[in-house]
Amino acid sequence: MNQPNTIPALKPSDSKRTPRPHPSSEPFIFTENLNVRYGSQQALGGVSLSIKQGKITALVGPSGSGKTSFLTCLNRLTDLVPHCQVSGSIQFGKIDVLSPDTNVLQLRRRIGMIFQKPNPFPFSIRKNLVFPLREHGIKDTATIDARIQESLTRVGLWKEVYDRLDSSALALSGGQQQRLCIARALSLSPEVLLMDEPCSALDPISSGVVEDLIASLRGPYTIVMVTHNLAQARRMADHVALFWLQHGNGQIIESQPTREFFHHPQHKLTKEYIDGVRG
Amino acid sequence: MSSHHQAIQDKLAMGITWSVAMLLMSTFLWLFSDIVIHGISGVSWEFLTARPLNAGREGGIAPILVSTALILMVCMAIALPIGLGTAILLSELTHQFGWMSNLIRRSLDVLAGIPSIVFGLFGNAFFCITLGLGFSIVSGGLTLACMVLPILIRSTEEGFRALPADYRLSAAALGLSQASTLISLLIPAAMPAMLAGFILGLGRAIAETAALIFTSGYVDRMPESLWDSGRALSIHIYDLSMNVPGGNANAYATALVLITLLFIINAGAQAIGHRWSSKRVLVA
Amino acid sequence: MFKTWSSSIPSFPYHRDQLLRWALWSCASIAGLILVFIILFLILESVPALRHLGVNRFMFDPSWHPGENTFNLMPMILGTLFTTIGAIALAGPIGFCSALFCHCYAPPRLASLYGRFIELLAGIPSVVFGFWGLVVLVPLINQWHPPGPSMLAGILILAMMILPTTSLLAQSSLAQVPTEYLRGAAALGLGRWATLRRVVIPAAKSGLWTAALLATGRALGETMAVLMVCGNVVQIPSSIFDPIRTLTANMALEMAYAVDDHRSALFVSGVVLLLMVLILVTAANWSNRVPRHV
Ligand SMILES: Nc1ncnc2c1ncn2[C@@H]1O[C@H](COP(=O)(O)OP(=O)(O)OP(=O)(O)O)[C@@H](O)[C@H]1O
Ligand SMILES: [Mg+2]
Repeated sequence: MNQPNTIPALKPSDSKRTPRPHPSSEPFIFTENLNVRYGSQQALGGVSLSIKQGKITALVGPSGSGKTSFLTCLNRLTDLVPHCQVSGSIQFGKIDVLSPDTNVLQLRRRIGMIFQKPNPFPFSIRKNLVFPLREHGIKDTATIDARIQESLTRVGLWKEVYDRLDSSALALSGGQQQRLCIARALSLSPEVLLMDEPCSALDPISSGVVEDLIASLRGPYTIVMVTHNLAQARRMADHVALFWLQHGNGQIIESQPTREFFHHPQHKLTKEYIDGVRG
Repeated sequence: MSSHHQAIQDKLAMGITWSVAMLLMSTFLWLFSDIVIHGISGVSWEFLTARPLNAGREGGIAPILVSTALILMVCMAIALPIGLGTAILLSELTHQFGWMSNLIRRSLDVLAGIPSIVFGLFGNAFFCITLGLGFSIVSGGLTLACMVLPILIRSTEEGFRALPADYRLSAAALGLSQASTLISLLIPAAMPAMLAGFILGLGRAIAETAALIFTSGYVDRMPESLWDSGRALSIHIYDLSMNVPGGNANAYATALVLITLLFIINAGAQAIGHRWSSKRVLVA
Repeated sequence: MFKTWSSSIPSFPYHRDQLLRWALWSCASIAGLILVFIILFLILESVPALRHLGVNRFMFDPSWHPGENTFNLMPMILGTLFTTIGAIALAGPIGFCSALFCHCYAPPRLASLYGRFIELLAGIPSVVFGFWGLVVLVPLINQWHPPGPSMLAGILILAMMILPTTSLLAQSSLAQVPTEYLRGAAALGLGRWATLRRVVIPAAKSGLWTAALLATGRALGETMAVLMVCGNVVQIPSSIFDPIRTLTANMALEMAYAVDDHRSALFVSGVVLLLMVLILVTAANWSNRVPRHV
C-alpha cells in the first residue's frame, strides 16, 4: 500500500470489526407473488423469494427464464423499460420497493448493481468514481479522495491504477473494468449488490479474480447473483434459486440452501438441470 | 453466350456511369474555377473591411459580413437550446407520451421539406409584422432558426441514440437522477454529434437567401443593433448581380468569400465526423 | 461516520427531473408548433384574397397584373411545374448514374473522394448557382438562341442544384441494401451488372423513389436559382427558350412592395406551393415506409 488508509473502510471485509445491525440469518429482501410483463408478454409469474442478509444468493436457470427481469425489479431499474409493468410486492428492510412513493434514487444507492458487460463511463477512472459520489451529496474533496482509495483498494485495483487515475477507464482490461464497476458501486456503500452474470464476459483469469472478490464481499454485503455457471454457484453461493419457464412465464421452481439444492433437489427438473440433461 | 452478353452490358454501364460522373465533376469544376478566377482579384483585406460604395459596385463588404454574423448568431442562439431540448426529449423520454413525440417528429420531417421562400413569407408575416420586429436582423435570425431546427434536431437525436444503452442503465443503477445523467454523462458524450449538427445547420443558414429577402432586409449599412435591418452575404450577391448594372465584379468576389466560408464549415464538419468515428472516448 | 448518509440525500433530484421534463417538453412543443404556425399564418394571410377574389379568379383571370386587379396564377404554376419536371428529368437519371458510379464502379479511393466532392456541392448556396447561371450560362444560351434568360436556363440550373442531393440520397439508398444480398448474388455467379440490375436496384427501389420525390420537392421550392436565370416574364412558354416566371420567383420579386389583395394573393401562391411540397413530402415519407421486397 502506498499511502496509509486513514479513513475506516466503508464496510470492512472483516465482518467482526463492526457488528452488523441485523443477525445474518434474518431475511432481508422479500418478494411475494412478483409479476413482470413487457407489454403483452409475461416474463415472470408469481415469484416469491426471500433473500438473507449477508449471504450470496445465486439465481440460476435457462436463458429467458426471467433472472435478469427479477434482478432489475429489486432496484426498480424496470422503470426505465418502456411498457414494463411490475406487480406483487417487494419488501427491502422497511421499504416497500414497488410503492410509487419510494425514493428510487436512494433505493438504488442502497442496492448497487453490476452488469454482465463491464460498463464504466467514458471518463477517467477518477471521474467514474467521483461523479456518483458528488451526485449523492458528497462534495468534500478529502472525503471523496479517501473513498476512491478505499473502494479501489477493496477491489484490489488501487495498486494497479493509483498512478493513472486520470487516464481513461476504457483503457483498462475487461477484468479491471469490471472491478472498477464494483468499486464504483461499493463507493456508495450499498447494503445489497445485484450482479447479473458478472464474470461471464471476462476471460478465465479475470473471471477468477472477480469471483474471489465477490466471495470476499460476503458478510458485509448481501449479494444476489445471476450465473449460468453451476460450478460457480456451488463454489460461492449460500443459497440457490432455480428459475424455469413454465406456462409461458418465468417461475422459481426450486429455492434451497446450496448443499440441499445440489444434493437433494426436490424438483425433477432441478435434478435434470444439475445433471446437464436440460436447460 | 449469356456471360459474354453480360460482360458487354457491364462494360456499357461502367462507361455510362464513368462519363456521367466525369461530366458532372467537370461542370462543377467549371463553376468553381469561374468563381475563383473572377473573384480572386477582388478579394483583399480592404474588400473585407471597407463599406460598400456606389450601391456595392465599389468598396467592400464589411457591414455585410457583420450582418451575416449577427443573423447567424441570433439563429443559433435560438435554435441550439430548442433543438437540444427537443432532441433529448425525442431520444430519451419518448416512452412517456409516445404519440406526442411521434407527432413532433412527423412535424419536423415536414418542416425539413418546406421551401425557404415559404419560411420567408411566414417570417415576414409572423416575426416582422405580428410580433412587430420589422425588417431586422432578429427577424431574419428567427426565421433561419425555424429553418435549421430540423437539421439540428435530427443530428443531435441520432447522436443520443448512438450512445450505448448501458450508460443509462448503469447511471440509473447508481441512483443518479435523469437530470444529472443527462447533464454529466449523456450530453458530453453526444457532444460531437451536436457539434456536427450545429455545423450543418450553420452551413444551411449561411447559404440561405430567399428566407431573408423580406425578413432581414436589404439595407447595406453597418447595423447598429439587432433591431436594424442587415444585408446577408447571399442577398448581396443577388442584389449586385440582378439589380446593380456593373456589380458583377464585386458579386464574384462576394461569392468567393461565401464559398470559402462554406468550405471551411464543411472541412470542420468532416474533421468532427472523422474524430467522432475514430475516437469516442472523452477523458475529462 | 457515513451512517447519516441516507438522510443526507437531498430530494431535489426529483424536482430537478420534473423541471427538466418540463423544460424539454416546452422546447419540443415550440419545435412541433412551428409547422402549425407556418400553415396558420399562410392561411390567415391568404384569407383576404380568397374572400375578395375567390378561387376561380386565380385560374381564369386574363393575366397577372395586380396593379390592374387581375390575378391569374396559372402561368406561374405552369412555370414552376415545367422547370421542376425538366430539372428532375435531367437530374434523376444523372444523379442515379452518379450514385452507381460512387457505389459500384469507381475505385474505392476515387469513390470516397467523389463522395466528399458531392457532399460539398450539396452545400453550395442557390444564389451562387443562380449567379453562375446568370453570368455564364445565360449568355451562352443567348448566343445559341436569344434571348438567353429562359425556361431552358432555369431547367439546367435547377438540375445542377438538385443533382448533389439526388445523388447523395440515391447513394444512401443503394448503400442500405444488405451485403448478404450481394454475397448471395455472387454465390449464384451473377456478374456485377446483373447483380446491380437484378438484386441491388430492385432492393433499393423504394429508397430511390423517395430520393426522387424529395429532390422534386426541393426543385419545386427553389427560388434564387430560377429567379436569376428564368427572365421572369409572366407568360405560358411556347418553347424552352422563352422566359418564364415561377411561383417562387414571383413571391421573391413582388413581396417587397405588395400591399392589400396583392400581398394576400402572394400568400395564396405560397399556400399553393406549400400544398404541392406537402404532397410530395408525404408521398416520400410514405414510399419510404413501404417494406422492401425484392
Ligand atoms: N426490455 C425487454 N422488452 C421486452 N421483453 C423483454 C425485455 N427484457 C426481457 N424481456 C423478455 O422477458 C423474458 C425474460 O428475460 P430475462 O432477460 O429476464 O431472462 P434471463 O433469465 O435473464 O435470460 P438470460 O439468461 O439470457 O440473461 C424473455 O422472454 C425476454 O424476451
Ligand atoms: Mg439475463
